[in-house]
Amino acid sequence: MDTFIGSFIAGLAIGAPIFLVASGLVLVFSVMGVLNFAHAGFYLFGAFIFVTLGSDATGGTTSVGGFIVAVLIAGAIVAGISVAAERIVFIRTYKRHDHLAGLMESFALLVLVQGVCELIWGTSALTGQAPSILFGTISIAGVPISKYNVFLILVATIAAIGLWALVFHTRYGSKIRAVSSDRGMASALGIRVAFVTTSVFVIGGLLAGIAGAIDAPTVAVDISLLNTFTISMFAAVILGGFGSILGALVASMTLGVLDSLLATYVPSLAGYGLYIAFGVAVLARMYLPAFREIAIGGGGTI
Amino acid sequence: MSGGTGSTGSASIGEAVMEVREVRKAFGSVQAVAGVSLTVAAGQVVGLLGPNGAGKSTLFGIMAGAVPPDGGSILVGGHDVTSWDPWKRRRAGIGRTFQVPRTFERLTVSDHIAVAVAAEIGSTFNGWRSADRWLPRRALAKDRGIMPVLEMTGLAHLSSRVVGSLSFGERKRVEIAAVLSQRPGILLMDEPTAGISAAEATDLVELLESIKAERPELAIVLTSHDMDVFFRLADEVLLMLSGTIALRGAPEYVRTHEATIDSYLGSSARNQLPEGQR
Amino acid sequence: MRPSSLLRRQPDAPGDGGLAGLAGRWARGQTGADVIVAAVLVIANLVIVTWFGTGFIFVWLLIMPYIIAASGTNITVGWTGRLSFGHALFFAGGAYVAAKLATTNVPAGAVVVPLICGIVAAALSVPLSVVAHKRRGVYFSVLTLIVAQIVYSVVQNWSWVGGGSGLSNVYVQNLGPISLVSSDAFAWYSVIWTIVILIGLRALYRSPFGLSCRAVREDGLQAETLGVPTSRLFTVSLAISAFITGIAGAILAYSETTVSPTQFYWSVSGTLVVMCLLGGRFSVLGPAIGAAVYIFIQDQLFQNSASAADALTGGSFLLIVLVLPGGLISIGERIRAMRAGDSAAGLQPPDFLRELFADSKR
Repeated sequence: MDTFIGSFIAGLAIGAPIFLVASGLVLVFSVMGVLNFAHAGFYLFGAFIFVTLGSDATGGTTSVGGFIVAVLIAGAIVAGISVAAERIVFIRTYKRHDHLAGLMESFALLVLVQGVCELIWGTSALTGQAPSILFGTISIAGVPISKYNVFLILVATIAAIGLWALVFHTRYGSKIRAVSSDRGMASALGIRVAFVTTSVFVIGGLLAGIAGAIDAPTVAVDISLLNTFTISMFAAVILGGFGSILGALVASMTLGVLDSLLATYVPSLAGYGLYIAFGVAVLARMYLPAFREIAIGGGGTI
Repeated sequence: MSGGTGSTGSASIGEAVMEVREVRKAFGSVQAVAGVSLTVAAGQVVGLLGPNGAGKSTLFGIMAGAVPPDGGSILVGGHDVTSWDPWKRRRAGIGRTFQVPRTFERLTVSDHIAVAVAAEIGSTFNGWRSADRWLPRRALAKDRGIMPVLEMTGLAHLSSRVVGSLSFGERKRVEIAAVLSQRPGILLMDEPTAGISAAEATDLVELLESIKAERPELAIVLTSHDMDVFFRLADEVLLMLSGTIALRGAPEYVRTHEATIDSYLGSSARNQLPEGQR
Repeated sequence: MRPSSLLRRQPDAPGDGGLAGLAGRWARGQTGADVIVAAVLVIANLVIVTWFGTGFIFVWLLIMPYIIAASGTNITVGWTGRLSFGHALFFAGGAYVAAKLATTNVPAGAVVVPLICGIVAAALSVPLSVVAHKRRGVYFSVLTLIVAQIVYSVVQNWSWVGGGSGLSNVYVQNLGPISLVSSDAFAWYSVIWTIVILIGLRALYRSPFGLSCRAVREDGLQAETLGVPTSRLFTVSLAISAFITGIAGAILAYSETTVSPTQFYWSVSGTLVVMCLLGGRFSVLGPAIGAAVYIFIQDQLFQNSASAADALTGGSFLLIVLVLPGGLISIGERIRAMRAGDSAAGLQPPDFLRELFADSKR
C-alpha cells in the first residue's frame, strides 16, 4: 500500500509540470484558435535557462533565494519569447483567418526552437540544481515522499487555483472567456482583444518557462526532453480536451500517475510508460463518455 | 446507392416529405427549441418567420443535420434521419443552402457543381476518370447536368471563373446551383435573400419560382426576414417565438396577425398602424 | 445546351498566359502535358547520368525519392487540406520494410517490394484515420505528430530492426535481367518510378476523387452537405497518401543503402510539409519542385548540416506562409496579380474561424 501511495504521489509530481504547460497551451488555444506546437519548446527553454543560471557564480540555484530568482527569470524570459512569437508569427494568422497557416507557422516555430536550442546549448545533457532544503524525503502518514515531489505538486496546485480564480472570478478572466468564445463579438463589446490575446501569451509563456525551470533538477536537460515532453503535453490536451483547463488538470495528473504506476509495477515497460499512457488517453477519449464530458463540458471554451 | 431525390423524389404532391416530431434543443440553460412539430409535404413551400433568438436557426439546423437535437425526431420518406450525418441526409433527398454561402473558394464554378454532381451519381471515389470530360457526360446520362444547371441559375458565362473571385450574390447562386444539380426532394434554404441587393433578391425569387414551376414536387423550407419572399413563394408560414411555433397559416394571415407585429415591432407599435396594414 | 460545351477543355485561370502560365497550368493538372513531365525527367536523368556521374548524381538520387514522398504527402496536406506532421511515419516505415526485406534476403522483386512498402504504409494509416474520425483537424495534426514520435522511440529501442543504429546493406540487386547495382542504372530505376507516380497523380488530381478532396479542403461542411462522405474521404486520401510515401521510402532505402530511426523524427515530417508548401501545395507538381529545390539548396548551401537544416525548414516555412502561400509555382500568377493591383489574386479566405477545422460532429 505504501508503495502505491508513494508511486501515486510521484505520479502527481510528474503530472505537475505537464499541467502547467498544458494549461498555458489550452489558454492560448482558446483565445487564438491555433494550437501552438512550439509551446513544448518554451518549456525546454525554461529548463535550459534555469540550468544556465544555476551554473553561474552567484551561488547558483542551490540557495533558496537563487532558486526562486532563477525560476522567475526563466519564466519571465520565456514569457517574453512567447510574446515575441505572438507578435511576429501568429499575429498574421488571426488577421487572415487562415488556421492552416497558423498551425504550420507554429510547427515551423517548433523546429526553429529546436534548432536554436541545439545551437546555443549543444546536444549533451545538462543538469539543474535545487536548494538542499528540497532534498530528501518527508514522512506523511508513515509514507516516505520526496520533498521535491511535494514542491512540484504544490506549485501545480497554486497554479491551478490561481488560474481558476483568474479565469472565473476576475473581470479580466471574463474577458478571456469572451474572447475565446467569440472574438468578433468581444471586440464589438469594447474588449481590447489584442491586449487580452497578448497577455494570455504572457501567462502561457510564464507557466511553460516556470514548468521547465522547476522540472530541470529532476531530469536530464537536453534536446530529447523536447521529444518526450511534447508527447506528454499533447497527450494531456487530447485527453483533457482542447478547451478546458480543468480537463488539462485531470488529464495531466492521470497521465502522470499512470506513467508512475507503470514504472513501479511493470518495470519492463518502464521506458514506454509515456506512450502507453498516450495510447490510453486516445482510447479513453474515444470510448469513455466520462472523459468526453470533462473535455466538452464546463460550458465550452474554458 | 442511388442519389438525387432518394426517398423523397417519389413522393407525389401533398404527400409528407419531411416530418419533424417534437424536437427540442437547449444550449445550457437556454431552451432554443421547445417541442416543435411540423410536416412538410411534397410541392409545398414553407416559410419560417421569427425574430432573432426565436429558435428558427436552431430548428433549421436540426432539420438540416448540423445540430443534433436533445429530443424528438426527424423523418424523411419514412426513415428516421435524426442521427444521420449531413451527407447521408443528402442521399435521403435533403438539400441545404446557408445564410452566408459556403463555397469552394479555389475551385472554378463548374468544378464546384461537378463536386455536387459527382457525389450524386456516386462517383466521389472515382479516381480513374477525368472530372472535366468524363464526369459531365456521365452526369448527363444520368439526367444530371452541370451546364444546364449553370444556365438555369444564370452562371453559364462564369463557369470558368474561380469562385473566390465572384460577388456575394453570385456565390449564393453557385451554392444554389450546386444544390439544385442534385435534384433534392426537399430544399432547406437559410435566409436566401440575406445580404444581397433588392434587384438580386428579386432575381433569386424569380429563380425559385421558375424552379418550382419546373419541379412541382420539390418542397422548400426557407427562413427569412423578408416578408415579400414569403408572400411570393410560400404556401404556409410558421411564426416561431421563444422556441415554439406560435402561429401557422397563409402568408397574408400571418403577416397581419397581431402576434407577428408584436414580435417584430412591439405591441405599442401595433396601435399606431392603420387597420390591417403592416 | 450544346454537347460541345461539355467537351470544352478545362479553361485557364486568370493570368495564365505565356510560359510562366504554362508551368502554372501544368502544375494545376490542366493540360495534357504528361508527356512533357516525362520528357523533362528523362532528359534531366540523362544529363545527370552522363555528365555528373560521380558527383551530383548522389544528390539526384536523393531528390527523386523525396519528390515522390512530397507528392504523396501533398495528397493529405494540399489536396485534402489536412496538416499531417507525421508523414515521416510512412516515409520511414516504407524504408524500414524495404530494408528488413532486403537484409533478410527475401527474394522479392524491385517492383514488388516498393509496392509492398506502400501497402504497409497505407495499412498503418488506417488506425490513425479511425482514431481521428470526426475530430477537429488540429486533433489529426497532433495525433500524426505524436504517433510518429512514438514510433521513433520504439524503433530506437527495437533490436529486430537494428535499434539506434538502424539497418545497413540495403540493396536492390536487379530488375529482372537488368542489374541495378551501379548508380546509373539505379538512377534510371528511380526516375521511372518517379515518372509513373507523377503522371498517375496528375490523373488522380483531375479525377472526381481529386476534385472531391479539394472540395473538402475548401469547405468540409459544404462538401458534406452536398453528399460527400468526408470521413470516408479522409481515410481513403490518407491511405493513398501513405501508399505513395511508403513507396518513396523503399526507394530511399535502396538509394541510401541504410535506414535509421532518425528518419521517423518530426524534422523529416516537417521537411516533407515544407517541400509541399515551398513548391506549391495547391498544385500536383508543386511538391516535386519544392523537393528538388529544397534538397538542392540544402546540399549546396548547407552541406547537409542538421541544425542548419532545421533553420532552413523553419525559415522557409515562415517565409512561404507569410509571403507566398501558393508556393514557388505560383510566382508567375502572384507577380501578374500584383501588377494588376490585386493583392490576393482575387481569393479571399472566408471567415471560417474554427469552423475550418470542425467536422460535422465536434
